[in-house]
Amino acid sequence: MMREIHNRIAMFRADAGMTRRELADAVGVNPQTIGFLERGDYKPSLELGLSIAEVFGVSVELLFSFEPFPSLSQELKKGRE
Amino acid sequence: MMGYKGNMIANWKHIFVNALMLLGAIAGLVAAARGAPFGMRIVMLTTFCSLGYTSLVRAQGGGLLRPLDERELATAGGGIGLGGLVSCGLASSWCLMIGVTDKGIWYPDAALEWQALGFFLIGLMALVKNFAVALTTPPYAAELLNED
Repeated sequence: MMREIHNRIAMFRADAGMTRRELADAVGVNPQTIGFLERGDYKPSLELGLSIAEVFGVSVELLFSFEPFPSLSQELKKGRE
Repeated sequence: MMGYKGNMIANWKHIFVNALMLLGAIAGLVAAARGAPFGMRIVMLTTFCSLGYTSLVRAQGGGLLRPLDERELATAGGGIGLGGLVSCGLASSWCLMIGVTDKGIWYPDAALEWQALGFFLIGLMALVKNFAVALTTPPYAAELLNED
């Protein structure tokens, strides 16, 4: 069974001020692969997923999920309530 | 690569170039089977062109000497597997058909024909691999190399 995997790599990358190439170099892949990951067109191996989480200093659950991540506006709204 | 359902039009260039080379290889093999010496040269030329084209595409994708990452290895591995399967399937079906009925089916006889068939199968493997990679790579892949 193939399940869709959602990720927040683009958000964390922008937050860290990194380019795709810099993230790709940090985890040892082609920058295209980071682009495919961010668009959800490629599912990474466990090793690559953990490596990306390690670069951002977060747990892998914060980066990848089977459920869609709430948008920033939804999270802000929830924070105010 | 998985899940991409978008527009594949940007990869049509690769598919068209590979289709042209495949047609050239088939034409060369037919010419060689009919005893024309230039047929073998056409097959040889299309085989080298298809191998060269594979290297060119890889060079554009980040360099020939750079090791492939897990996604690239999976894409290339799938393509090579499919190329080998198609070539071996075709060759074995052909052998079986010759064994079952020896009427009207061409098979190599002269040294030149064997060479043409050998080059054709090598070229076919490379071309099928190129087709598979072109079909499974999203058209925005090239843009990703130039943008941050």
